[in-house]
Amino acid sequence: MATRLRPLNIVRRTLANPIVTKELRSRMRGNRGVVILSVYLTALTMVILFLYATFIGSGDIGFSVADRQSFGKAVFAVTFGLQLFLIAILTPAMTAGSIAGERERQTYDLLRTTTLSARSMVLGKLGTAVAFVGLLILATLPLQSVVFFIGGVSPVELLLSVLILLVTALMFSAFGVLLSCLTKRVISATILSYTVIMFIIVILPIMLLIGVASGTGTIFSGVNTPPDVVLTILLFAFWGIVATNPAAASVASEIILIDQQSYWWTTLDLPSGATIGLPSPWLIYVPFAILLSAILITIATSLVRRKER
Amino acid sequence: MSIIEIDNLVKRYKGLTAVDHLSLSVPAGAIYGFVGPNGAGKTSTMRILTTLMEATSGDARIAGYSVTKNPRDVRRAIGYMPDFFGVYNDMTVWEYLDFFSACYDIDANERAVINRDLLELVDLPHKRDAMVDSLSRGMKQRLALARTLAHDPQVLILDEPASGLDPRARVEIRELLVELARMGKTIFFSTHILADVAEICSDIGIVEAGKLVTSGGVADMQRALVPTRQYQLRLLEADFAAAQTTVGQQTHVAAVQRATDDQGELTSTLLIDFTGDDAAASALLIALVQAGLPILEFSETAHDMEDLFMRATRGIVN
Repeated sequence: MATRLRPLNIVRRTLANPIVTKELRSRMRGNRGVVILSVYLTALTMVILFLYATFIGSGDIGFSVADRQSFGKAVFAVTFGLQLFLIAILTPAMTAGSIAGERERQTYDLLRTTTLSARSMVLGKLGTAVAFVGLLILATLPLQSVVFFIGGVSPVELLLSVLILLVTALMFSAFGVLLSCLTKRVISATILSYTVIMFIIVILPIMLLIGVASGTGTIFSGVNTPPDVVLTILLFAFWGIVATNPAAASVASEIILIDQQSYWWTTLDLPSGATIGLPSPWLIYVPFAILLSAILITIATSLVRRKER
Repeated sequence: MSIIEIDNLVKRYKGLTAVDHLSLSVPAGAIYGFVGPNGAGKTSTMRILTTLMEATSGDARIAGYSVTKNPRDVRRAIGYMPDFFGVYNDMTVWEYLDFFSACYDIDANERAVINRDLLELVDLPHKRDAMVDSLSRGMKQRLALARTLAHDPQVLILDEPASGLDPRARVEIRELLVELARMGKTIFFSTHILADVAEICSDIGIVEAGKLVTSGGVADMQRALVPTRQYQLRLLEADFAAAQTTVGQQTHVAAVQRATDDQGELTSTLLIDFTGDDAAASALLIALVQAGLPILEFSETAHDMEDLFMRATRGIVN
């Protein structure tokens, strides 16, 4: 049992998964993969150059450390935002066809009568989608490393951003694969995936923020300040919303890093004078995204395993 | 020994019974034609056998494994070809075969040898590097058959393997099936092309409205459905009325009538419905010669499959 868990064995088993071989082969066949990668990196380079030109043009960038740091932070923030946007755009396109596409091509039944397990099928589809997005993310690392010459961003910060992007790609891909299991056609799965992802990264946080804000407004409208318990519950609810959203979690983690120089914790003072500690949102977001992905993958696997009724 | 045993299988969809308490068994090594009109429940039965569909009740065993309790073992024992060809547009013939072989957990080195042999078996080695999508329908069907054989299954379950093929491709598939049966495979295939059944099947099951009408060896079934054998007796110019009386007086002769041609004109042939066995048929011929009939030809008429099918089915489909 112990030997089966060795990393080398995991890699070997992953590569032995025929779905992985097939998907990687078709994804990288011809020059499609290279073209996507080249276009993406060129676009990102242009954005960074544009930022540089803007800073130079506005006279905001000088020789002071602070100027260079703010430029470094800007480059880092923009590339991170673009990558997050890219993940939101690419993952549904790559995963929505995973199972629904097999149904459309009439190959689904063929696969299900082989001895290939439902788990291998789902993990193979998911893994290759994440691997491709991962390749795009990692390919931008040299570009992003430019900020090390300028300053303002630490290597740990960059690695954390990559971690957040990768788990986000995993979570969105898991949504895509699950929705692909639930629909018969690729187009329906694609539309549903974009809707769900849009809901997660835009609509849900706005709705919850409005909810929390109005709730807070009501509580604070009274003459007396609400008790610490109520405030703490509200704060945790707010923190939960922030920490389960990739964009909000990243921004909040960055703010904590800038304000309190901490990757891990922040403290907040309540009106009563009490102080409460909260973990940096990325610490919640990363396990949350992994756990949610695991749940989605488990549901998808059971759907693939289930016989036609 | 039966390699496929279907036991009281029922499949109900909303308000419709597609498979209605169907039981049958297929002997190992048989080419079993599963015949019935469209909507008779053939595909539903096959989807249950291939572990794709859940039965409402009943069970089926393939190579000793239950389709409900041991689906994985069943999958290892069968090769399934549905009535459509699943295509990956961006794959070569070799990649297609290699992918499906890998889905049966066959080692990469072994796969290379197996796939080469399979391509030779289905006469496609020259198309090894062609894109699957560029193949003709007949070639695709042969490739699909090769795919079902990758893991050397005992049983092949083929849904309408010859449908939509041109006559030449149909003959090629038929020849392949016979070849595979010779190699020891049991072939269970559905069809509504009765010529296929007549040409290659050793056994047949006729299904209608979800129910098995009859099942067994083709020869046995002919005897069961058509209790009399028919002989034709061609005579040189003779008194046909007298000859008819003479024949009618012989033992085991159920009926005699004069045959007519396409225009309805009487011919010089008498058609004899005969209830005896081969020895009795031989004795009949001797008796007729001894009676002085000027016999030119005495031969058994084979009932064709259409006739058999029409006798077996009542023309009712769900």
